Amino acid sequence: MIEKNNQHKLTFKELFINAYKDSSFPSFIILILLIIINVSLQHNFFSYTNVKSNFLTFTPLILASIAQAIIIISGSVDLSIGASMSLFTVITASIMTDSNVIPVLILGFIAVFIVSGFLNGIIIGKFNISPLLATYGTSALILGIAMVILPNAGGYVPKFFYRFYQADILKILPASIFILIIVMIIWFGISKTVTYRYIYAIGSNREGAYASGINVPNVRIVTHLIASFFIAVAGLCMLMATATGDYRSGLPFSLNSIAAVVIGGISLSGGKGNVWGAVVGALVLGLLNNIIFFANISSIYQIFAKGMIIVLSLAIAAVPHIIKEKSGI
Amino acid sequence: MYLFKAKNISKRFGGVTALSDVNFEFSGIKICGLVGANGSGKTTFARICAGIIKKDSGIFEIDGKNVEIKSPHDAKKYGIVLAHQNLSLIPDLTVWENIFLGHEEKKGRIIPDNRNAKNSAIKILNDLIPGEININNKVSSLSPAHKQMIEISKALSQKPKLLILDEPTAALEYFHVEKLFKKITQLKEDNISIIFISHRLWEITRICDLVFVFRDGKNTGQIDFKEQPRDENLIIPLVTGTKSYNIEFKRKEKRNLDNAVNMVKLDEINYKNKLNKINLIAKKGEVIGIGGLQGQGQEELIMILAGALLADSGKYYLEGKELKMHCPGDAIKNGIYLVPGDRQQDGLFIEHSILRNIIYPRFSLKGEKLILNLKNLNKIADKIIEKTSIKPPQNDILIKNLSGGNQQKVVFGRWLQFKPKVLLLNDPAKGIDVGAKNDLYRIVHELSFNGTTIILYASSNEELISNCDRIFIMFEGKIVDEIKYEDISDDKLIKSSLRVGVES
Repeated sequence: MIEKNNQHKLTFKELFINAYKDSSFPSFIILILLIIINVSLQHNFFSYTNVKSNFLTFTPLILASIAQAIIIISGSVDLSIGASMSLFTVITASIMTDSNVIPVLILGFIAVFIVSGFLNGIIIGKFNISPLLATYGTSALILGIAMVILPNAGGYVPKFFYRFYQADILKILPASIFILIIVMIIWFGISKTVTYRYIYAIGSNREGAYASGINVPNVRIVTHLIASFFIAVAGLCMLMATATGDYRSGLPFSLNSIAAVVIGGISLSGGKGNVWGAVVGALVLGLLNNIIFFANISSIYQIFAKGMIIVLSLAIAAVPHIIKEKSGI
Repeated sequence: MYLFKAKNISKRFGGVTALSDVNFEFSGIKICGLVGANGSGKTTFARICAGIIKKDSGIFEIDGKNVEIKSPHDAKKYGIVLAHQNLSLIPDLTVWENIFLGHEEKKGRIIPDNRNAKNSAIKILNDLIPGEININNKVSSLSPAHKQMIEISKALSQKPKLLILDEPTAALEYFHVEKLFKKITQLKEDNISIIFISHRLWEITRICDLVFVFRDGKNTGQIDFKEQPRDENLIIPLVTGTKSYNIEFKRKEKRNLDNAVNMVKLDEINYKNKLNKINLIAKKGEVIGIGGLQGQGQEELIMILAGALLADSGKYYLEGKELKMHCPGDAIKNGIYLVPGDRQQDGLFIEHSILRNIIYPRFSLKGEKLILNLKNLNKIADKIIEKTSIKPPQNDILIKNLSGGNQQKVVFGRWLQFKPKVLLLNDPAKGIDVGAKNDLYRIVHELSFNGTTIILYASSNEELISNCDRIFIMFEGKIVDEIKYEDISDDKLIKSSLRVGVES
């Protein structure tokens, strides 16, 4: 019967307390607040067409934020996410025709795998270069390659292909949300592996992870490889949303994904938080743009207003930490 | 028959020799002690055996065969597992995830068998410390003692043939030590050899079959208890190199402090559920001991005195004037200095030099110039290094390259540049060797004779007995007893700590 003491089922109250203590709790509150504001500004907010059009623009950032979250949890960071997304659109748009869509997409995935996954992973994992510096460098490198491939925005994307993104699956599910669901199922699968646990371990205490017999360089490489899959899907969604290849199109995603991750309660020092938080963080950033658009804020003040709200969100996200500090745990 | 040989193991870190030609051999299932002062190379040796760091030269033989140990994985292959001194745990993972981290049982290639792991974790923990830990808790929420027990459980879960325990008892309380010893003897019966590293000689003489002694990275001898008596006094000269060390550890003489002014006075201090109506008066030049079982609020009391925790209510007087504390800086400005319990985390900037660590506290003082007079500061640092006999005596050495004892001397020594009114010591001798301990307490005595009030919390009674003018015993957040100089004895301290003869 002692075994019961060591492992008891959580009661409802404990579950609530756990949710409250969860690092992504504040971002949920912010999200709900933003939804309320959004609904009051835009009365058809929950209508099918509006949800659909929102997710058309949100999905690439959500995916990029998932990738960034995995990397940041492992104690690394990736400034080249945006450049890799651009590279995907540029490579595919420059050689795509009506008949070779699938092979070209595979090529795009492989390219992102190599530059974003392997290259970053090996520089950071094997050579132990600071991720911030390493990915700052590879970001420029990848951007340079993208620029050479397609100096001017354009290329060709078949209509049936980009129309898919705006289609409805079984008439009830927008394709963008369908893609998100598939990706989340894949992530759910990954989260059941030992690798997932190792990612947290190396982010939380790298020396300890090594002493536990974990092959730290390999796990770091694998982390970037896993993330590069999500980056490629983000690039794919962006390609379908814009129907062009453009080396500049991905650039804002690097920093926006980091902002989403932080709003989602994931610690920049690694090992803490979870990927779902990043999804919430990305939704928060997306809704922000919506609100600013519908609130009729003069364009001169738009950036100021956005900055204000981001700083406020980050402040709210910090509140539980401050409470914890005060209560001296 | 099990045969373990480590021959001529050497290791250098940069310019510092950590181990030179160390030998460690035994045959059969044994509990081998390994003792030595801080910086003598014990931990380095343990980590080399476990493949955490690579040796520069030397060979390992197991059962007569040459083996190469280059990574933790290699070591595990040969059955050598190290229970770290609180290094390998991942604070953000749960207890059971930690126990099996790096060697999960899997269904297929990458899917961990969690149910199995949980059950095994429960079994291991029930064997060691039944009912004390919920395996679903995060490790970050555990006490140091429980973290240490998780480290040991983690090592046990790898089914070692040779288990190395690196100072497992340093973080443990008495009853945990007993549980550990029971487990160790049981492991020996299960045909597992053990290398047991400890500072506490009575532990070595109690459970070990033989003991190896290191000093300055070299073997200084070994004692087989089959042939020689289990006597600590045989080990001490091998550890210290001199025979006279223990003599310094006699009680100080009684001092008359009746006419001294009150330096510190606490009036009804409350802090959460940790401290309850604490009243305390410490006179100028007095050495006050805070004793009792571990975790009865002693550390909180020290932290409140240092301004690191803020009391919920109550008054704090220094030389008759009430102090309003907001942060540790306030304490420092008033001449109240703290030597914290966790020197690496709370006491030092381990990536910085001795000099820098010594001068940082000056910044919180009023009147410190914006531009530093480096020549002067160098002189101050050198004086402190000389006074506390820090080795090596160079002020530009990084803290992380010093041994534990010398690190503690830096934490301690940096307050000597000011005239401390009150010095707060939070278990200052934890995990440091006899030599460094004696150096520290020699300075404590000097300070107290020059009028510094010392408030000392120590987990070992020996330190309290030999150094204090008066001892307060704490129990469940209250001061329950005051032991005057005349009455101080080990017996009295233990009885008072355990509340013997008090109706609850």
